[in-house]
Amino acid sequence: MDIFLTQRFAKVSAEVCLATRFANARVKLPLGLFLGLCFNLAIASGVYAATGQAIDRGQAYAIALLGLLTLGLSIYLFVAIFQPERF
Amino acid sequence: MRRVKVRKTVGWVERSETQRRFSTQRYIQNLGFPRMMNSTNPDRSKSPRRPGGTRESRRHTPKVNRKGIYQRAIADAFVKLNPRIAIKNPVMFLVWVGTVITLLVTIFPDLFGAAPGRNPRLFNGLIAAILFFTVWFANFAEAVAEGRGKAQADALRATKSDTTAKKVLPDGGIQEVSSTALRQGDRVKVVAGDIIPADGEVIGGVASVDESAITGESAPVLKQPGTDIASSVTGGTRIISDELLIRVTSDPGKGFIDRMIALVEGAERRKTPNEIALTVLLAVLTQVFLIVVATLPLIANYVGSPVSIAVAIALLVALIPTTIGGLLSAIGIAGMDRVAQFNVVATSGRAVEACGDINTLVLDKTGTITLGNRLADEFIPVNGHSLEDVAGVALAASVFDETPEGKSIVRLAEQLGASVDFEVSRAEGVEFSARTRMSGTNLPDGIEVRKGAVDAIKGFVRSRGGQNNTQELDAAYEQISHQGGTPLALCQGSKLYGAIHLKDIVKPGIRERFAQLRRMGVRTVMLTGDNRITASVIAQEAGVDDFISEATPEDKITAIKREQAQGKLVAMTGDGTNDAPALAQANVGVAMNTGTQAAKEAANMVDLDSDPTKLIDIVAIGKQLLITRGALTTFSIANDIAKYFAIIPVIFPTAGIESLNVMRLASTNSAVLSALIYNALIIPALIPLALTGVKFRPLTANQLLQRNILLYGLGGVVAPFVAIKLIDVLIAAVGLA
Repeated sequence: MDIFLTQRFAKVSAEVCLATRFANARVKLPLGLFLGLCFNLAIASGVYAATGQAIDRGQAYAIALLGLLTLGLSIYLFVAIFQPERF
Repeated sequence: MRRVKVRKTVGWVERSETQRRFSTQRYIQNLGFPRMMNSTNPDRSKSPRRPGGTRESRRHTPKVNRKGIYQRAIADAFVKLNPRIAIKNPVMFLVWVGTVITLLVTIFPDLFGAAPGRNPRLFNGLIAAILFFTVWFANFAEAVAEGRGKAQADALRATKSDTTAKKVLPDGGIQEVSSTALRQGDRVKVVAGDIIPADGEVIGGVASVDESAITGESAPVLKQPGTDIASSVTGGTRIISDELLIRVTSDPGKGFIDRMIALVEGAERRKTPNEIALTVLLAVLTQVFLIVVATLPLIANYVGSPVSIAVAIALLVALIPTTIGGLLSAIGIAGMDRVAQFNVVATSGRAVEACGDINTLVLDKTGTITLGNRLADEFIPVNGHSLEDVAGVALAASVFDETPEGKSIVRLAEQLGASVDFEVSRAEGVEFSARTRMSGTNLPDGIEVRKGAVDAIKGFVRSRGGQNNTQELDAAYEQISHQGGTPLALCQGSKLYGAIHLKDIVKPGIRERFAQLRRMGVRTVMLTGDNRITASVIAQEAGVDDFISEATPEDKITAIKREQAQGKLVAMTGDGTNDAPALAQANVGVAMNTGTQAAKEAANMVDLDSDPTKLIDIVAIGKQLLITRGALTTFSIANDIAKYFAIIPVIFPTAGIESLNVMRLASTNSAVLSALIYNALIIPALIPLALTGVKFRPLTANQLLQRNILLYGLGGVVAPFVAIKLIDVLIAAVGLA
């Protein structure tokens, strides 16, 4: 059962990666946002677990999303540092 | 490489092509050739072009309509809020994202957890509004700078219109075609009243052209084939007399005006190396502060003073260098605009910026260091003749000479009491030619009087059976050369009479300008075709650092390469075809608009006024651009100190750091709001400085650094303390504290 799930997950991941790579610029942003929101589901549960009863589920999801956004901004700034001519 | 042999002789200064460039026609007329260029209007033949009025009065000459720039900029500033555009500026993009997040916490105050405070919606809303204006002000600064460029482009575009061109077919017939159908290599005929349909080289005819559409100079310019100057025409200008045959040198849409429009509009704007370096620095600073602020809530929670997301974003925006981040592109665009205002078209911002880093200026003597017109200073009699005799012969030899030099000889002779003692109407003027290298007059009684290059006159005297005693003349030649002048010999028939000292007049104020350049660390090298003695005297008088005498165009490239080999950046001017390699080799090459197409293509700037002295101004503009950017960067980073002291103590009230609240701000809210309001308002406050540039002062690099650190560094530390405290008092007064 576990092996089956892992294989399925790997296959879906590979398809998503391919879709992202070949997606045109118009589709890339919504696709990225969608994948980010999905990925956030995993992080949000971690945040929710860490904070106990202090925050509700929605807030945990928002905080996790903010964390992802901060990470994204950090990566964006690294791109600006290493490829400044693109800006 | 060509070398003009017009006056290459002992006793008459050698003229290289480089010297020919700015005043070929003037030189040719110098020895009595007044009607060579245009028989219909002798006045025009005096000089290829001499722009009227002061340079300041000729600024903005393609009349730019600046009306409505600010209204357009307001609208453009909103358009630039588009994330696709905003993402191009890393610092301001972070503020943009911060605005969106604070807007979310305004609508949903509990989005990231329970919101502290009495009225979190109002506080978050105020932060969101201030952040929005921070981004908008930065966009506005850029839009104003771009608007000025676009206005200039519109003014140029107005001069451009599709015209009907008379294309000359291979069989000699004329076909009327649209100017847009012309291709490189086509030949067109233009007659008085026509608009010149495309950029081109004159291959036939002589005519006056009104170039005021691009240069603003109302005096018509004479165009004729075969000269390095005055042989290229620009599409969009108007021919006002006679007719020309032109070979088109550019395809439609690739002409001079088209390139100018694209450049001033910013369509081809690329970041310059310095801008890229500064972008990296700002991105690094932003990254550091992002990491600091992102990890701050952990520490804040640990010390028992949780920080709300809105305050954390406010702290981040206050710490990142938003002032310079918001004004950076405006400074660059304004720099291009300032160069354009000086009637210089730069091919790239990189070229303008390179001007600021220039170490060596290679300048031509004639037209740049000295006035083009040399004036007669004294007569030196030889072989026993009296001064009065020499003055009389000089006057006789110059009565038909309409050039400034010829007239100055007449004036000097008349001052010495000489008068014309023959019937001028029966005398015959002998025009100067490159072959004879002299001019003069054939008197009614058959006597020939001549003035010209020393060896040419010696040859003339020999050919008339005259004496070979030239020792005194050679001594006079040496004496004049030692004084930095140009010697002309004078004879009547077979007798040598003396020498005329033509004095090169060093431009007034040029010595001070070179001294200023030296203080700024810029070395000046003078190039001249004059002999070594004359060159050294002029060099000393003008105060240049070095000179190259008897220079050829090859010497110019060699001089540039030698400087570049030492890691220096070199600027030069030129307009001849044979200047093109040197213009391309120099880091900053400024071509004259009267120059050939080849020179304009090779250079990275074109001076529409064709004033070689302007190179010094361009260097000053480049330095001003760099200084402005440096000053505002210093100011922006220095501002952080006050903002840090305003926000940090109040967001950690329980950490026992109240003593850091040196400004005694009213509350956490008012401290954060005051710091942010200051941060937003400083951008529009500095827009005028970014657009006009920091006042340029010719100081040494060290003096400039000290001054700017004091003014913008210390000022950047003190100003926000005062401003933030004032804003805090106002906030407390309106009850928002």
